[in-house]
Amino acid sequence: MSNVVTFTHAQAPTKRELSARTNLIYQLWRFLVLNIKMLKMVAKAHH
Amino acid sequence: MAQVVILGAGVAGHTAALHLRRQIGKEHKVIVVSPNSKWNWIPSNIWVGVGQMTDKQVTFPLAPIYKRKNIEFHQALAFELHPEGNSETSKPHVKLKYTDSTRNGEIANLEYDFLINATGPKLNFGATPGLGPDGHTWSVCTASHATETAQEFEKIIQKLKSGQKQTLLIGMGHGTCTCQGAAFEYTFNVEHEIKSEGVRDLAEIIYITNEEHLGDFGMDGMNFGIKGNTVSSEYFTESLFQERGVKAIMSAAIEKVEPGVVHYELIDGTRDTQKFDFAMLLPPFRGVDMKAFDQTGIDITEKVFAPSGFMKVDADYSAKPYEEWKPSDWPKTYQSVGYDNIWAAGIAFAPPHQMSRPRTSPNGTVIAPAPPRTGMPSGVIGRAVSETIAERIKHGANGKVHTASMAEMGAACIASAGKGWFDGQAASMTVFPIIPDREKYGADGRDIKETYGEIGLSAHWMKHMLHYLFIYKAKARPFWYLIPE
Repeated sequence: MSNVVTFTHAQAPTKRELSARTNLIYQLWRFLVLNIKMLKMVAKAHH
Repeated sequence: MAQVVILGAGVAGHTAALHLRRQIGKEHKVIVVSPNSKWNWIPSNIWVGVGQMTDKQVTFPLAPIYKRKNIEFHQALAFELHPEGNSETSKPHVKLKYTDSTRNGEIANLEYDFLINATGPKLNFGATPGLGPDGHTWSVCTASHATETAQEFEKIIQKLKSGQKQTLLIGMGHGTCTCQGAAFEYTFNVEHEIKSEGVRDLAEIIYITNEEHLGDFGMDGMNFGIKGNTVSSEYFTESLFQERGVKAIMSAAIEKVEPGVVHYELIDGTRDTQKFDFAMLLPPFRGVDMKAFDQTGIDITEKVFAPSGFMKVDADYSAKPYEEWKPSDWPKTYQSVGYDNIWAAGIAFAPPHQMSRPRTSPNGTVIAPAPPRTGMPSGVIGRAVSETIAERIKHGANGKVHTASMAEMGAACIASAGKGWFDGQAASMTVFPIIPDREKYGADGRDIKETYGEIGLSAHWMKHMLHYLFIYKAKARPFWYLIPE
């Protein structure tokens, strides 16, 4: 039996999710959100 | 006048040096000792390794920066620590061997009042026979390694284009490796480049890891809070592997590498082999080869350093079962055991224990990731230690002690999954706290509101932005100190 796992059982992203990952307008919004999340994390690290 | 010596010019050491220089007067000396002449933004080495960036884009010479900032620079390797002085002087000092072209091989003593050990890891390719650029596999651990790897990867692309099937093996070169994130990033950047070249169907990409399951990342995995749902890092990561058609061998410890084949042992004790045409396998880390001696010349290395070679600090190193490990075991001040004028910052400190559940095969082989040692905590620790030293210089023993426990800080990780302004991808992950706290946050051990994962183009933009931001900061350009660690 091969030890190499192929992950066919795993949940693949939906077409909508894949589209959202490259949609420029949505990703610009996510870029802002991610920046805020990161800044919050950084602020918590410095005390 | 105080003399502060910093061993190492990586994220922790360089951050500490720049902050310290701002905090203390010019009458005090800040001295950096590093065997390397250049600073390297290591997170971008994965892009060098697939030919998407050059060595020059991820490195720059340290000497001009230090000259501008009035920091003394010695391009040298520290190999002996004398924290009590020796028979000739009571002044603590380190013994150095110079590596620059003008003083190459010269040995000297450098005295200090305060010492920061930020020497980072030794890339222990020797732990696995045949591993590394001097053996039969490639690496992205340094910019020069990544450049060589890119050249070899280009040959694989050409073979694929000529219709030859190729197997690419990427991952952990030993049962106790850490840095799964870097191997993960390289795996998906390789997949992205091969797909861009239109030859994905001819390439079999296999990720080999010591993790029990995907998404462990040396942190025992994590649960992300995503849109009101709890999603495990295992589910999150497996989904990406499924989407991109990447296979994996898990719970594996590579025992040796021969040309075109790795021999590995699984956690159940069985052994097998995997052939490859191209392999990028990371080495395990250990502390650099530094000995310590007391004033009479007696070797006190075991007192100062853990068996792993990393420096013992204010952590609880007592052996205890996994279930009894606590966040409070982890260091707060990073002050050395026994010497109150020495600190270990970044990767150089000895972790009290793993974060992933320890596992051993029936043959006694340890197959479990070591704790991850990422840039963000290294920078934060470097800064905290520099602040403590500045306080000591200004106020003596009454100076405030700054802390930076990994049990009280979070980390942000942007794992690239392919470079490109419009077709790039990355997984953005945050985790809080780094060290799981099950008493405070329940079985997850982490704050589900602050522990988050997302894949998309925006995360790639962010990784690219951080590349420029942190190189700007490391070059100490105007207002660099406003950029947080």
